[in-house]
Order: sequence, then C-alpha cells, then structure tokens
Amino acid sequence: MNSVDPAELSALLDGELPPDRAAQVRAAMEADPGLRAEYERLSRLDAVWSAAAASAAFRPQPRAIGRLSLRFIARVACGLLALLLVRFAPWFTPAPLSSLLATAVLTMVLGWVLFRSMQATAANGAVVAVRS
Amino acid sequence: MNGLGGTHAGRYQRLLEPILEQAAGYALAIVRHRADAEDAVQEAATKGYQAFARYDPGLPFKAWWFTILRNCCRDLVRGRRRHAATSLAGLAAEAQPPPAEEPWEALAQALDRLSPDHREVLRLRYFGHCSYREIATALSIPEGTVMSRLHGARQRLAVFYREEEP
Repeated sequence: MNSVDPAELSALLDGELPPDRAAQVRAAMEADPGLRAEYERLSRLDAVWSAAAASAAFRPQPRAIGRLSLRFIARVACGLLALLLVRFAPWFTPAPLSSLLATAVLTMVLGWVLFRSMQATAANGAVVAVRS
Repeated sequence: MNGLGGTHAGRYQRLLEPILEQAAGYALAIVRHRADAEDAVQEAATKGYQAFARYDPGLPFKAWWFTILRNCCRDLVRGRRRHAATSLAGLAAEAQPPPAEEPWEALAQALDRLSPDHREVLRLRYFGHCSYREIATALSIPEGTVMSRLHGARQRLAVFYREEEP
C-alpha cells in the first residue's frame, strides 16, 4: 500500500482526491489508528471553521440611497452653498474677473458631483441587475 | 429585461448570481464591515462586467471574478488605512481591533495571524467555498500546491482557533 501524504488527508476531507486514491487513503486509515485520529481531528476543526465562515455569508442588497449617494447629496449641498455665498454675500462685489473665476470653480464642482453620481449609479445598477 | 440587457449581460448575470452570497462573505472576511463588503461586491460586479469581454471561458468564472473582488477589497482596505492614518481614533482602531462578536469575526482574526499565503488559501476555501481548481486559478499556483498549502494552513490555524472558541 502507498504511504499517505498528510496533505492528502485534507484533500480527502475536501472531496478533492480522485476516487481510486481516496479509496487507498481510507484503507490506510483503517490500518493506522494514528492516521485515522489525525483525519478525525482535522474533520472536527473543519466543521467548526466551516460553521464560523458560514455565519459571514449574506445577500448583498442594492442601495437606492447608499453611502455614495449620500456623498452625492452632500456635494450638491456644498455646491449650492458655495453658489449662495459667492452670489449673495454682502461683502462680495461682483466683478467680471471674479465672476468668471466663480463660474469656473462652480462648473468644476458641479462637474465632479455629476461624475461621481454617474459612478454610483453604474455600481448600483450592476448589483441591481444581477439580482433582478 | 434587466438593467444590463443583452446576451452578454445575461450570461454575466447567470454566472454571477450563484456566487454573490459567498462573495459577500469572502469580502466581509477581508474588509470586516458589512457596508464595505457590499461596496466591494458592487464595485467588483461593475468592474467584472466591464472586463467580461476579456474573460477566458476555459477558466473557472468564480476564480476570475474573485480575483477582481479581492483587488476591490484590498483597495478599500488600503483607502481606509490611509484615512485612519489621518486621525487618532482611526489609528487606535487599527492598532487594536474590537473583540470578535460573531464566529466569522473570530475566524477572520485568527487568519490575520497566519502568513499571507496561508491566510488567502483558507479565506478562499472557507469563506469563498472555492474548489482546489478555483483556488489554483485565483492564486496562479498548481493544484498540488493548493493541497499542501491548505494542509499547512490548517495546521497553523489550529494553533490560533480551537474548537472551544465562539
């Protein structure tokens, strides 16, 4: 009978040994109590670890308003606040150059907000789609 | 019809649907927060769809997709560490993780004490429910190496996580 590589006990436990080799390893365990005890120890530990890992599994939920969307709302609010400050602050006197700069800054801010919202929509859509 | 539409998208959905739950558990074992795990799965779903045209049908889909998911999880953890480094509370949380409340958390913390090779092979096996072929493909190693590495990893894990733990 072939000797048994200890790693083959793990493979037997996982159902990953070819049938003929699995039969040989089982026969070797019948003849060797030490080998059998080691297999049973591994089997007990495997059951505990499998149960522990199983408690992590869950169905991912698509989020209509997830954290990315909340970030989007926050950015929109910041953009609007910036617009109000620039436009209506009493100390601010509109001049052609400052108006131009304010427009450029606001355009960049709003562009970034729209870009992130598109990313969030695409990511939400992927999980929604695979779950539909 | 669904949001992605078409045969290409339909095929992707059929392949992805059965592994979503295992993927979420695997992601949770890496990132440790449920909302972050959902973000990682969501991002991997998007990236996987974008790259699906390059997927080789000769390889296990699960192994291919879990590689994308693992990278998304790593990016998320790296981003969180960068963020934590800027706050004292974040540094304290990184230095001392909270005590495990659920069995999977105790297992994930025990895995943290193993070498990266051992940790990853066990994560894919227990949290991802991957076969030896899928693990071999995901880690680009021969199946024989998966068998011996998995056995060695189990022996090490037995030192840190025993039957009487939660």
